[in-house]
Amino acid sequence: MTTLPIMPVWLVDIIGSFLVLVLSLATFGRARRLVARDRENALYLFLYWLCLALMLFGVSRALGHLVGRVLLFSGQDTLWHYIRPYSGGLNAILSLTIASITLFFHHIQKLYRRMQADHQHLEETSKEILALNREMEALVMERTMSEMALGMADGIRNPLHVIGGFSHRLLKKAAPDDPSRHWAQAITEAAKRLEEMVGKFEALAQNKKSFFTQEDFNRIVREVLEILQVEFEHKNLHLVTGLHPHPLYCQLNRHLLKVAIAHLMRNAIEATATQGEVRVTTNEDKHHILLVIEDTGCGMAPEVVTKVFEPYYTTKIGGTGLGMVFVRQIVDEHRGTIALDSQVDIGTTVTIRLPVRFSEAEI
Amino acid sequence: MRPCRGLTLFWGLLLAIWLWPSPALAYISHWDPAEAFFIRQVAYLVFALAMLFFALELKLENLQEHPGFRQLIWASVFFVLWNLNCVIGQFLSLTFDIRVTDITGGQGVLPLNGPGAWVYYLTKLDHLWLVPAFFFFYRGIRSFGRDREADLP
Repeated sequence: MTTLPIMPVWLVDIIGSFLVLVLSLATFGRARRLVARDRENALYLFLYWLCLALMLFGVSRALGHLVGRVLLFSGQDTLWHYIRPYSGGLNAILSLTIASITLFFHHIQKLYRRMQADHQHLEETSKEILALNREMEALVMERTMSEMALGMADGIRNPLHVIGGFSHRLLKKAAPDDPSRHWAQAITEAAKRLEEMVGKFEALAQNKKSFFTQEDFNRIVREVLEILQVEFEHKNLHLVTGLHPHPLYCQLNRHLLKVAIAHLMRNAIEATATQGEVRVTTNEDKHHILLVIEDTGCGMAPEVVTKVFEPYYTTKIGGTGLGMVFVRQIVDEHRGTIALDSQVDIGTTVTIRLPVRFSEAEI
Repeated sequence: MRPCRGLTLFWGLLLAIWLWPSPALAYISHWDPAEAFFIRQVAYLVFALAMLFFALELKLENLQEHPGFRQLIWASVFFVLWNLNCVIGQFLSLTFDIRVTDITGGQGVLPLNGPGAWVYYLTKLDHLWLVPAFFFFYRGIRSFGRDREADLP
């Protein structure tokens, strides 16, 4: 028979119970403050509920032990034996509650990961939209400046010729000692300076093509199709391409056009059911190059078609409603037009026409 | 017509119960102390498994790099140890029927015998696992709170 002192057990139990009581209450207090700052954070909510269950467990257990010790020391064994099953039962229930909440963490984690992925996707989309917006702004500004420069040059050139011509004549006719000769000289010099300014404006106008380079439209369409090939295959769609046999050269902004065409094709992919067909053709007439994207998707009702180019109008869950607005703006910047023809359950046809006035294909 | 039919059925059922009474077996009374023992043991084991699962999930997700999650992993480990301690302690108390028999002015002793005597004595010091578990949990939550404060402008 071994006899061991019971005092260390009692001391550890009493001090331990007291510490558990304090720590569980402090933990719950912290968790409450945490969730109060961000009530929509799934992780904080999970921690809050876990802390609540742990606090109830800690308090129930610690009080049970402390009360038990007090009752035993004061000789109230009978009362303690009466309370004990309730305290034990409650602790068992709370243990299972804690376990249930903890096991829920797996789902919380999945939810959290998905939220993070969505957040990242949103951030990337916002960045993309911002970059596109900046490019569009730069393009619009550049175009405005070019047009302004051209307008000013046109407006100034003719009166300047008159002023310059007459001042030159006056200078020739005036005698060397004539005081008006100096005036004519001053007018000639001023006219010359103005001519230089007009020249600068013209140079600025010549730079207007900096955002537009000579590109083969077919090549841009082909590159977009290559990028989206995986998406077509993933959805098991029939992609039919009918690109014009010859290169379609035109002054284009390659990056912007790729964004616009990719967006239109993605729309077609999303709208078309598996085994459906998406047809992409390019063509040219005397003044335009054409891109036609046809799908056999769900189509759109007439009231939707009228709103497609309105900012923030979207029929997609999580869509920004800005995609088609950008597409239209990109086509507008190319001085082109975009047309939509859609019928519910039959499909949608998008036609883009871009002018070929800068075409150098025939040069 | 339908309510009348329902009422007839109800009265018929009532009459049938009254005419043919039988022992009520709707519930079974649970006064056996062994049941309470098993309920507690199962509760401890489920608690331990849940905490083990939680710690593993945090570890597998590589969340231990965050100080808050790292503290939670430690807390979970101590909770697992505490629950196992309780399972063993309860099991030994049942198996060896060890009780405090001599309390004289607070200077009691545990008369122990058998191979599990020392183990049983040590399981009685279960707060040595439980207090660190709560302490690490507190530190973990505090760490998340500090993160949040740092995020705020």
